[in-house]
Amino acid sequence: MKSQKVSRHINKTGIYAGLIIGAVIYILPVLLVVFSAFKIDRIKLITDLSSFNAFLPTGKLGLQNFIDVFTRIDIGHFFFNSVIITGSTVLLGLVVNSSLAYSLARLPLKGKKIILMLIISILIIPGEAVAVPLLSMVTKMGIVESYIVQILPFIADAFYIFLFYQTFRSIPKELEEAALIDGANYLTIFFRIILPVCKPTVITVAILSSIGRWGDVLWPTMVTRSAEYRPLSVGVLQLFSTQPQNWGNIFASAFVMTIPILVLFLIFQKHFVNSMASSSIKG
Amino acid sequence: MEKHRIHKKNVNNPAVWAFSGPRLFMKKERTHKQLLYNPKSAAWVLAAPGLVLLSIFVILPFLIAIYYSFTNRMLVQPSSIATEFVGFRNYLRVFTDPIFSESFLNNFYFAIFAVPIQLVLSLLLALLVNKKVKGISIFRFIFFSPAVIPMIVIAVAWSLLLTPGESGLLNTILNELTFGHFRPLDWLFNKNVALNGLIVMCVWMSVGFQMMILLAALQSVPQELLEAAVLDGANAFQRFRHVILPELRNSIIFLVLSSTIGSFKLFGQVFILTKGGPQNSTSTIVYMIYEKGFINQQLGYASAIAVVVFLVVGILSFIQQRVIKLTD
Repeated sequence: MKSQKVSRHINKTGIYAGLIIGAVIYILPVLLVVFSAFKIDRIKLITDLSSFNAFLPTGKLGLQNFIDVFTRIDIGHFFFNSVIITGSTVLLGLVVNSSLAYSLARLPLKGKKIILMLIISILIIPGEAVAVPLLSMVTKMGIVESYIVQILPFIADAFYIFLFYQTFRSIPKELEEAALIDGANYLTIFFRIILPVCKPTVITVAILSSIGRWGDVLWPTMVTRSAEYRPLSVGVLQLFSTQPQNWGNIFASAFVMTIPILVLFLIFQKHFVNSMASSSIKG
Repeated sequence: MEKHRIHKKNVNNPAVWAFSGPRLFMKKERTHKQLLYNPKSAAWVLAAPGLVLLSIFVILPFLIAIYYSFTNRMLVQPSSIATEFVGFRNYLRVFTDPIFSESFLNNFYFAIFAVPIQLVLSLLLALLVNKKVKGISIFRFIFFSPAVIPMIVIAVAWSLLLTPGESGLLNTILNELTFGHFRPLDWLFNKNVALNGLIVMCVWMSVGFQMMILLAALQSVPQELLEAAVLDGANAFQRFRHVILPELRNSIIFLVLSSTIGSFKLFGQVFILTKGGPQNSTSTIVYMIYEKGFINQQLGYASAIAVVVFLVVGILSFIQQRVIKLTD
């Protein structure tokens, strides 16, 4: 009995040892960004980057880097652009993708099988592969250098349609039937009854597409030439690829860029992780 | 009274007729509202915006790419040169271009090394975070966090970790851990090592996500099975090998296949960190589309590569579907 207790104790120590080693590997790069963002002594910041001090809050700490990026390179404007672009794409995408999926999953849509096959084959096309032809197309349409060119192409997304489709197929038919008898039309049924029931999927898609849009660098680099419509991701990339690198600015803007998505994720974490895991296995 | 009202509403609701037998009114003015009560028309109303957007912004560019792949089209067509059909010349060029074969082999190399390493590490982590110990949800979040940090931020951090030479952070760490036996690598700056540097970073990025999927599968392993195995005297390894692993089979197959497909779609990390270099050692087939199409402006050639990428990924996805069906 006693030896069992001891072995369980050893077991637990082993588990924590493994967990902590893993956690260190994951936390170090994050600490590097976070602490460096607050180091205000430029020379110390750079020398720290070649030793373990990179992971420690050494030297003088303060908000100077943040003040710099907001006043000198107006990262606030990039941030604003990102919010507009990501926000509109995600919200419109939720409505458009879920309604198409609902129509496919539950309504007598003509040509349903063909549309479904089409959507599954679209899943195969990597977005980056069609970016260049798309660029030549939007150039002809005359919409480059705008918000709209960064929103419109990404609203409908085969992957999110597919996630919604799987969810809608699994909810019981009785829900809709009861509402129909109560005299509701399909639009009302969908938005008032079906979508609220599928909240975990809505949250999952919202978070996934927020991460995707917020972090995208390829498309905005291709379609924006001035700072006016440029999102934060391109702002950070520009700072990162300008030589000589101003690390204080880079880290401060990287920090600013990470916070919103992280907060969004932490708020909805529970729904997200559960439904993501279950839907990807089915997929 | 209330009952009567609902009943009366139903009379005007074609959707209800569809469910409840013979139609009462065959002809009825199609008002805006009517459209949403009829299941067939409502289906179109709901599907239309998505279908239109997908057609314009995904299907159309893809069709245009197929068309361009047979032409000598440039991204910005000089007025002195007319767009001409060149038949299969672009495709011939894809298959004879040494950079394409090098890029394809890079994708292949990436898949061969990254996929198994990711799987083993994420399985280990999943087993660890499946233990019910204090603070476990914090550890789960830490491992999962790269999935919610923008890739550009991760790339900034890793570009510093992978700094070449003695002062490079990863070099310093590995040197300390091996008591000075580790020879500093030039990581992203040496053409023989750069792809490995990318693999290290990509594995770090994606292990947490795979861990979550395996964790969900682990948690659905029936507790009775494990208890029965304990009663039968199975040790921890035997329990893992004969009880847990078979239950994880489907998730593992899913992860292996989808990360293999992901390996052939590799782009973002290359785009941000190495631009395919040094000497094409980290170029990938998707990166080539960007390089040829956007930087070199050769839209026709880039489109041919895009079509080839589509076929490669398509074949892999087809195999995936087949394997998943077979194992079900």
